[in-house]
Amino acid sequence: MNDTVLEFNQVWKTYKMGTEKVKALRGVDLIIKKGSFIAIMGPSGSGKSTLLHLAGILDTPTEGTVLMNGKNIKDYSGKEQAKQRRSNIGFIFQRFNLMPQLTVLENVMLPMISPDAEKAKILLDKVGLKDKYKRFQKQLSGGEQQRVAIARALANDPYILLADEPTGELDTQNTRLIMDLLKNLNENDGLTIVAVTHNPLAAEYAKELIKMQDGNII
Amino acid sequence: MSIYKLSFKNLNRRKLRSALTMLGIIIGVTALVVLMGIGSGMTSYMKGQTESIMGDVTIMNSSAAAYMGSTGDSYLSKESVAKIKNMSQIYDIKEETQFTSTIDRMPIIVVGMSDWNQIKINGTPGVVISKSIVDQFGYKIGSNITIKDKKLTVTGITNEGGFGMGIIFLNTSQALPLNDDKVSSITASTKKDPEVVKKEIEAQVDDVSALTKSDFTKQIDDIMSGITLFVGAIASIALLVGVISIINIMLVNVSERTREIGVLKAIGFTNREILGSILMEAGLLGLIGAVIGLIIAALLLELGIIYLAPQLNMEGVTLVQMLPLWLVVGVIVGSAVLSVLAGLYPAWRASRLNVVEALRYE
Repeated sequence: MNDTVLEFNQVWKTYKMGTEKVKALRGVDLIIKKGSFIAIMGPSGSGKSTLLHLAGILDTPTEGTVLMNGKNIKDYSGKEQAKQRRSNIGFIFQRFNLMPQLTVLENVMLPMISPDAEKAKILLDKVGLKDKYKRFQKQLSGGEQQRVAIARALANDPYILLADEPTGELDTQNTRLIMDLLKNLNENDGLTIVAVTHNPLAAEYAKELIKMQDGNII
Repeated sequence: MSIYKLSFKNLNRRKLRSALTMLGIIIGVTALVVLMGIGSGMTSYMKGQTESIMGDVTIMNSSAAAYMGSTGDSYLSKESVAKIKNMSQIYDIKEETQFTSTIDRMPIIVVGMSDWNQIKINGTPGVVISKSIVDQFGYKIGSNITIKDKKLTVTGITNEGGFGMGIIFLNTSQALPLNDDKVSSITASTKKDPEVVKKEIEAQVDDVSALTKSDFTKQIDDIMSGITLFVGAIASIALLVGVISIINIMLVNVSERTREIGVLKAIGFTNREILGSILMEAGLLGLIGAVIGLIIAALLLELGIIYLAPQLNMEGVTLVQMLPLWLVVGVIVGSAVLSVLAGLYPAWRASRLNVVEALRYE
């Protein structure tokens, strides 16, 4: 049985910034197996966020192929890409990015393909936010907001969770809390996790560490 | 929790902004509905009045008929009157006469009345003078007036009367001799379809036109719909300004929510869903604004009916006449559709946002 979730083959990504061309990725090869927990570290501009965006089908490579479950992500139409993101991929961001006009529970229910309040409550209980269903973003601490974001990312039972600097705006205590939570999800639920981070403390929780520099893995 | 429910929540997010945007629509809709409502109410009222007071056919000199039954000093010839009176298709024949005269050099109109129920009188029928004559000469019930050397005693006063022009209402039998027995028009009931009788009369009697009730109501419709359309077009400018403010505010909203839209895309909403949610938000602004505007317009019209209609002798006009279903539905649907169209460009911009760039947006 093939347990490869994501496969990067000689992936190049070039951006245009004004008149300049920026080579964000320069021939990356990477295989992400089911159940892995990978931390990607590297200085700013090393291409780690770009890698994450390609892994999450938010973008497509300039050259090379990214295969998700064996299928080239370039072959997906825009609508299919969105469908893949919604049903198979969970995202968490540095800034949490909750919808401020929605309650905690509504935020978790937002991406659900079939909205289910009970399931949303179970997910919130799992991330330790029991009894905070009706709170709004502004009534929560940073750590709590990131936990809501994790619950939201799990709403459609994805097989991969992508985290872009998940502890970037959190203190040490909350960093530990969030990373413990991700570790549990990986170990107990078998969730594949890829986290981009600057924080060595956060990276310690991963099973695998990938370092990037100048658009490539070193 | 669907993305479309998010549209409702978004309206609530910046209450003042939403309210001010809606205000544009509210003002536009209120202006449009009040003006169109007045037009529509007047049309129905005039048609109702016409139908209730008119006979099945009104026969007049052909030249007069062109001016919607305003006979002025144009009369039926004696031969025509005699011929008409002898026709078997009509019954309940009433002669009407109307002429201009003067009292103390002030021009007045004398109208012969065969049915006094057409006007409201303070006093009794017989010799009824309009309010403007009372104001001008200080006449009251019991005063003596002279028309064409004939002395008459005022029996009643009425508020009816064309825009300050003095009018004296007399029994037709009294008015006819004063006008050398000249008949302005004849109204009658018909024994069969008025349209058929109308053609028969016009064929058998020279130089006369016969107008049925539907001829009159059609003329009222033609004139009033022209006026209403013109006034409505002017009021629509206010609504248009409101709609433009929706384009503006939705562009601001989309720009402010760039990152949020990026997140929605990242968690799997399609471009079409993003487009739909923005269009829905714009449409809701228009829809809610239209409903509020409509309610305000209805209140204003009702106040008009209570306080202004009696002064304009339009008692009996109802809100249902002023707010026909087509106007209500048209304004609500029209406003919502225009608002959705106004949201089209902002929504298109939102849906085309590059997700990676949107997520980086500060």
